[in-house]
Amino acid sequence: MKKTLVLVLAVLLALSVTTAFAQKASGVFMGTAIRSLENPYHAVWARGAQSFADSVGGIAVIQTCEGSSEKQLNDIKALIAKAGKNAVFSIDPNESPNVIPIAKALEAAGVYFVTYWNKPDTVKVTDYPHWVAHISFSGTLAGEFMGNELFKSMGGKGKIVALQGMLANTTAIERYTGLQAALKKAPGITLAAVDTAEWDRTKAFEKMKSFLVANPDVGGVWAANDNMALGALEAIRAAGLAGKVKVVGCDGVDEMIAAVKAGEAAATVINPAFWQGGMGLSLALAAKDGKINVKTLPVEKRAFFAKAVEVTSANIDSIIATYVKGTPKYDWNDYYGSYVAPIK
Amino acid sequence: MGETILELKRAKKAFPGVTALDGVDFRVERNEILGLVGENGAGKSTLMKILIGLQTVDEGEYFLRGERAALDGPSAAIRKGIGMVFQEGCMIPNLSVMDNLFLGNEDSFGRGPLMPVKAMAQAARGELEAVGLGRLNPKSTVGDISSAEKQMLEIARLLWLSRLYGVDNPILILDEPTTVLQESEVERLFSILGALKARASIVFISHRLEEVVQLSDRIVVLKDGRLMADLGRGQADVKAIERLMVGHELAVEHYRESMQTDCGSEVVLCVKELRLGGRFEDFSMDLHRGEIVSLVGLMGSGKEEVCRCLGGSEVPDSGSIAVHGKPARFASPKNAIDAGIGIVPIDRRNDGLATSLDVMSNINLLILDRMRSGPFLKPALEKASARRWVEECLIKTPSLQTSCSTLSGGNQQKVVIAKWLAAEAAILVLDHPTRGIDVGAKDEIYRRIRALAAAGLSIIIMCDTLEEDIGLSNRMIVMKDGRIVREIPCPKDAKPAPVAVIGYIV
Amino acid sequence: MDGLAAAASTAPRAATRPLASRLLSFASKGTRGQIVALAIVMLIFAIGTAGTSVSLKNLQTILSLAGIPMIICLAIHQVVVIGAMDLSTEGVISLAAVTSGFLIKNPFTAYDIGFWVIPVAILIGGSAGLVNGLINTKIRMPSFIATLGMWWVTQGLAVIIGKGNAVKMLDQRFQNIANGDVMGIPVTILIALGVFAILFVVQRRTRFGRYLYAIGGDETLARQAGIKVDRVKVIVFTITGCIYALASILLVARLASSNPRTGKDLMFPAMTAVAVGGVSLSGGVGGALNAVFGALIVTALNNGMVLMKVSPYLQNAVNGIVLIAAVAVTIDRKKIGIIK
Repeated sequence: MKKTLVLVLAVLLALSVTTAFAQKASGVFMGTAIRSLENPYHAVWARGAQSFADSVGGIAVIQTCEGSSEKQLNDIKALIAKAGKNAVFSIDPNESPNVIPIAKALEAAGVYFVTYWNKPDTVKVTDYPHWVAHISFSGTLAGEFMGNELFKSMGGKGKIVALQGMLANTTAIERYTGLQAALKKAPGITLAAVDTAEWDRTKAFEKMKSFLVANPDVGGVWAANDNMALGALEAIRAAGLAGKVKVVGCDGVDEMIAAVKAGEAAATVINPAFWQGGMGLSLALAAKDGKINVKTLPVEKRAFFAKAVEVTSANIDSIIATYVKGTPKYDWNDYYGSYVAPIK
Repeated sequence: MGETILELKRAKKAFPGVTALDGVDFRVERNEILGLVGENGAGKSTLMKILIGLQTVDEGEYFLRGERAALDGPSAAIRKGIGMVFQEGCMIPNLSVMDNLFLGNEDSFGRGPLMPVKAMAQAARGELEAVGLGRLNPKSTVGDISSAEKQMLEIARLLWLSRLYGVDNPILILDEPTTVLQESEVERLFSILGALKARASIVFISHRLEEVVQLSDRIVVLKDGRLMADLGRGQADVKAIERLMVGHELAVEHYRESMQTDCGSEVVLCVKELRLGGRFEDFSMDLHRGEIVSLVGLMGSGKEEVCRCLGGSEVPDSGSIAVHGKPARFASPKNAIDAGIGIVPIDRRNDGLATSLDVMSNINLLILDRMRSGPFLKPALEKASARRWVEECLIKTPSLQTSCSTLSGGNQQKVVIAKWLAAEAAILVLDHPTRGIDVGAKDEIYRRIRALAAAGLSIIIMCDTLEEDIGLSNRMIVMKDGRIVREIPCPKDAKPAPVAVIGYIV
Repeated sequence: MDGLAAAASTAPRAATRPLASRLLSFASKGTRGQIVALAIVMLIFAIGTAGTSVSLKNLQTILSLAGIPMIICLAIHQVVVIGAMDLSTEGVISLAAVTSGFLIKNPFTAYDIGFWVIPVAILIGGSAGLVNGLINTKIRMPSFIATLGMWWVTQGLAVIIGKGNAVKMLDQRFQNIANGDVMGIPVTILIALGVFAILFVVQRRTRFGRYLYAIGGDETLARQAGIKVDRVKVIVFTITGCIYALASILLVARLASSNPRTGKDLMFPAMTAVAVGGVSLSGGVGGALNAVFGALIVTALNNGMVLMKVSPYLQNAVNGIVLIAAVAVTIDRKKIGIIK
């Protein structure tokens, strides 16, 4: 019994390893380090990365860390060890402090890389000659936009509740800051309750159910991401209030776009994951190939906010055509076309 | 003589280093109460384990109800109508009385999907009544009932099972049933056993000879794995049985008595009025330099607990311990080590040694502080120390790096002693130092103990047999039911006879 | 036998007690502390929210929120009762969820097997549980390791099958059931209570139930009593897997969406609830009723904290304190002998 088991396990292991290495063995290794493939956002990201790699004949290597900073760093180091300088990296750091060891490792190996989203403010991209860019999307602007759209849908007055993302997460904090900025400019709106649903749909559903008891007259829900917005929306539907109590979220997942179309959600923001997946690698590869000279780049091009796609009922049809039904076409050589503002 | 329903013929059983049963003929008759007595190590427990199928004989035959018995465990034994009642009971603590009673055999109350709980409770009440537990609620949790009740519950279970399996006249083996009982409970137990005799045979094992004589129809005495006597009711009194238990002859030079030295006058250890609730009380003793004091008593006499208190692994409720005239705190094993008391436990493999470590590490375990240079251990110092003690204690080991798990029992013993000597312990507590060690190696240990005493170490010892206690010690302290009942000097030329001592013990 | 006659005369006392007192003793057996805890939690929040928390509407909300966690607690607690551990919860739920998502009417596949998805999901959950049990008993691997491995495997399979997609469920009937109610009582809690009723009867009235506790109390003795310990364990793990699948379907139905994260973050809260409910993690003590109370207490606590606007930063800490306090109190009442 035991021997058979060991044998079966060995065969399984061998199979999975051989399939992993059966990829073509020439071209630049294009590492993409992301959270996991379990969520649609990163799944689309990986598709973008794959698409870009295919377009230039590189070898896409998708690494998922499943929430472990250590695994992320180890995976990156493993690929460097294998590929040497024949690699570029596009990274969504698991946590912002994780950026430091990753940047040091890549810098030491002489591998060009681009990071997204998380970075401690004190870490300067310009201190690392191989760190081509740190790109983010302004959570504050997104949060404020979401707030404004929500308030607009409520006619500028009423009660809202808010669902924060993972506490202490930079993006969650920024988006919430944006909401507060929007609230300042909307005297008719009161924030009746705030809680966290930790980005999670089920938790948002549960919190919303409790919110509805305490605030039966709530007029709208601001959720820091679409997952939570959709969870809250289910609770609203169950209470028979769909369409009357609108939700807003961020990330632009398909179901949320459908909810905007159906008039149950007021707005969402698409952070173009496909673009991120491709552009991160494209920028790093351009630096490796000498198409852009990192040393002479102006500071604001090294750390900047990129353009997010704002979705409201006004532009919903064209959004669906471009992003849901089709795959958006990007010019991967238009390196700074989505530039919005420098990250201070 | 009644009909024989269980018979063991010329049973032999040996374990490495010791012959537990040496050709024993043993039988149990229908409807009798058979008393089984013998000193610790006489072979009683081995005999019992063979009877209930936990062990098999090396030689000899086992017949149950006229058929050759091949039992592969207690449950098979119960099917054949023989079962053992353990002192603390063998019941599942979180289940109810009734659940335990019928566990595994619920089908006999019907095979429907739901158990007929009411019928079962009623049947349980009947079974309990039969063993005098009529007032026990069948639904109470076994963890909450008393030891006496647990014991009776086990008897009830065995009786019920024997009826279920259609076995006539089951054999119940009761191991020291009275030690966990109050006096009134003992009387009740005896009256119930007397009544049960009508439909069962009972093997009654006890150290309390008065009880055995009072209750038994027949008494069998074991000594050193041999059957010494098979006495009918009234054929022997307590004194005669005591004599049979310890034997007559005591060889002159068994325990290296000629090497016995007189102890010094300096009091090394002074224990005053030590008490541990429910275990022992009013325990006082002085231990002199170079003295060997033997603590004697049955299981439950409190001697083990006294030694545990001295080793710091148990904290006494009151009393004081002074070492070299200085009062010492004994709240943890570390205190004891610091005070210079070394314990050589009975279970060397698990308690005394880190068997996965090598000889050197074990010897130096307590003195690593002295092996340091700065924060690091110095291998040269470690080796020198280990080598010295391996030589002094005559430890037979292929190398200092040999893992202790591969050494023989005797050599493991020596490593433990070497560890304490290295730590400069002035007092050693030897807990059954010759347990599981073969005869030749025993003599070496006796010489070793003598040499330690001659070198000025003070020793408290607990031995396997009374003869060993008498032979080895300068003085014996006899304990019974948690109290010191007698101190008996054992000078080398005037050792007391075991027969004279056993009366104080049992 | 003469004892039987004697016993018969004392027997009928149980049957004549009034129903109310029998119900009370039935509930209080081993759950007295939990009833008090639940009452205290409800009382504190009733005061803290000026009554909102005990309004009919909120009681309904608590029940509807407690349903699925309760089912998961009922699944896990059985394994705990036999003295084992099951860490595969989240993986098995995710796997069953993702597979079900593709089998009910959805935008990704052509399958639409309707309610037949329930037996299919239960088959998946049951198989995972069966394998857990077999690894535990046949290969003699600690349940902790066996189920930890199963968690990784099922979570991995869920990702492979789901490819990271959130699958929208287009069959409205499921959602109607999961979010619906019968005379004001949420369907999920009714299903949970159904599971509870079955397990309760099994535990109190069948041989199998008795054997669970025998194994949890002392496996060696249980074996000696002739109980087929391995078989019982395998069955327990399998049933647990089946119940996970049931919870999984309800989770998917409630949000009309499945993805490989569906089971995430469900195990520790459930384990917490099981412990708070008074099921001893060392086995043999506590049953289905404890699991029910555990789930209710934890749900009421979380609901109350939202209503009272307790800072989200504090909520997890409060959960932890309640867990430790509850277990400390529970252990105090037990016999030392059975704490392993």
